[in-house]
Amino acid sequence: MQEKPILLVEDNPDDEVLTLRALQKNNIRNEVIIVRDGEQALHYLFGEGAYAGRDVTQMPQVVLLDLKLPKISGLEVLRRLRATERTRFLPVVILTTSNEDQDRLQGYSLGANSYVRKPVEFDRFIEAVRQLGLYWLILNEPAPAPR
Amino acid sequence: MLLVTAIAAISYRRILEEDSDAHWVEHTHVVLEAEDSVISDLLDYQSMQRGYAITGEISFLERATAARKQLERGLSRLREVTIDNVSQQSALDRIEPLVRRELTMYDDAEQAIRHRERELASRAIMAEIRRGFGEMKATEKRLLDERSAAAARHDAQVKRVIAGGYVMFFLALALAAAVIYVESGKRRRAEERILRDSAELKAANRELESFSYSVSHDLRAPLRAIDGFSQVLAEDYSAKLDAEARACLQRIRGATQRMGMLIDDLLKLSRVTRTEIRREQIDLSAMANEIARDLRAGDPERRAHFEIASGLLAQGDSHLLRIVLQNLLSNAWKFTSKRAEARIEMGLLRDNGQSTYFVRDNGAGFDPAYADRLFGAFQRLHGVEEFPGTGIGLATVQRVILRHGGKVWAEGAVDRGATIYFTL
Repeated sequence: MQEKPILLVEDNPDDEVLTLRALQKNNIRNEVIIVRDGEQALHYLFGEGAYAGRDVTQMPQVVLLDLKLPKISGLEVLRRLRATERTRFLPVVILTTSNEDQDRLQGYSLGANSYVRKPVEFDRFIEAVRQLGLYWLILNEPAPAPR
Repeated sequence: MLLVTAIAAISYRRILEEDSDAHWVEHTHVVLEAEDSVISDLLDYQSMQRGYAITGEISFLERATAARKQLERGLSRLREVTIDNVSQQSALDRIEPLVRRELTMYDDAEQAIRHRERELASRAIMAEIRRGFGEMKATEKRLLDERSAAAARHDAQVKRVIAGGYVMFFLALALAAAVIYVESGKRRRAEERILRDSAELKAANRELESFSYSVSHDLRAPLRAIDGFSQVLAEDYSAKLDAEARACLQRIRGATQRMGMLIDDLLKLSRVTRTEIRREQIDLSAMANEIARDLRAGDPERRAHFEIASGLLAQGDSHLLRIVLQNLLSNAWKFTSKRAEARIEMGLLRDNGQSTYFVRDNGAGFDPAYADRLFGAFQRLHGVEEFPGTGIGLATVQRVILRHGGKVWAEGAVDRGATIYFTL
């Protein structure tokens, strides 16, 4: 079975490099698709804009979603994914620096599957990515794909 | 009010004065009547004596005697009612002897025969009497006029005073209305200002929210990059780095982590300010025991003795009070870390119905000279090397306590431990 990609929605290039490094350190070999704002994320997932014509039956294994994004915020991306039949059950992990109660509450209310705060210490971040990979890429069984 | 009272007093006095003016008018009439009756009694007496002389009938003599008695009474009454007036008295002094002479002229009935001569003399005396009384009447009338004029003046004056009083009264009312209007305007403006201030406060709070969000999100991101890439250097280029370079990288990472903690603690402090307080009954003893258990679990090797009084109840916000106990007990735990045997105590003092909670330790203590600086943000009385920390813990404690309407203070001495007291 072909491994599904990981969609990383991240506008900070430093975080992008460090996230890729953390995945690599944990031997996670899935393809990582990187989009840099909320609009791009939606274009990719719905096969629009720059991603028009993409085979939208191919969904990522998991979306790693930052909250503070240019154009369309992470929470708004999440809201639209949950409002669309095809992406309703797509696993979304909010991966953010914010630890505000408000963000966590809204994230879960809108149907996030996990909420992970990026730690300052890189060691702890690597550990967090390891556990996320283990859970979402190996343990978790996704919902059956809609026809 | 004063003004209204004054107007009432003046009106009342005027009523009394009107009585007195009326009294004087009546007095004048009494004098005039008395004079008239003396004249008519004298004429009666003359007529009766004359009738007796002509007819010899005794009834004329009786009536003459009666008229004379009445005349005497009239004279003495006239003297009484003019007793207050010297000029009227002296006029009476002149008239009275004339009246007496006139009377004597008729006393002797024998002289009746010399009727004609007597008649002539009598006429002259009567004229003199009438003239005297005429003068007295004129005087009385003049007095009456003067008194009436005075009364009228008085009246006008009082009317002016009363009218003036009412004008002033209405002016005062108008002034009061104006003052009320101005004051209500001020009040309205003050209320508007309060509304505006509270709107500004809300705006400031929203700004603080978004500031905290930025601090939480944007300030941490570069820190993560510094830490992450320091580690990349340390891992991927370790062969090219000497010991000093690796030590530098280690310091960079240490500083980054401290900065991360500072940001986290600052956020906690600001969250304490932003959180709405929900008061409920809280078992502080149970809360403190939980925290103590966690502290022990974090360092099971330490010899420490916790003595937490049981049944410490309080009314407060459970989330915020947990932050308080967490900070106070962690501080006690931290500052007793160099003691062979740590003693950490939590209890309650009651004084005049005021409950004061305290957390006491036998740790490093502090110099009492700096006791008030303990609660300031970023204030540290120990070096980071000696005891780690950000210096925000007690500032957070103070903010929670103040938001509960309580007080917090500290006692201690260097190497003699510290006690933090608080009320709720």
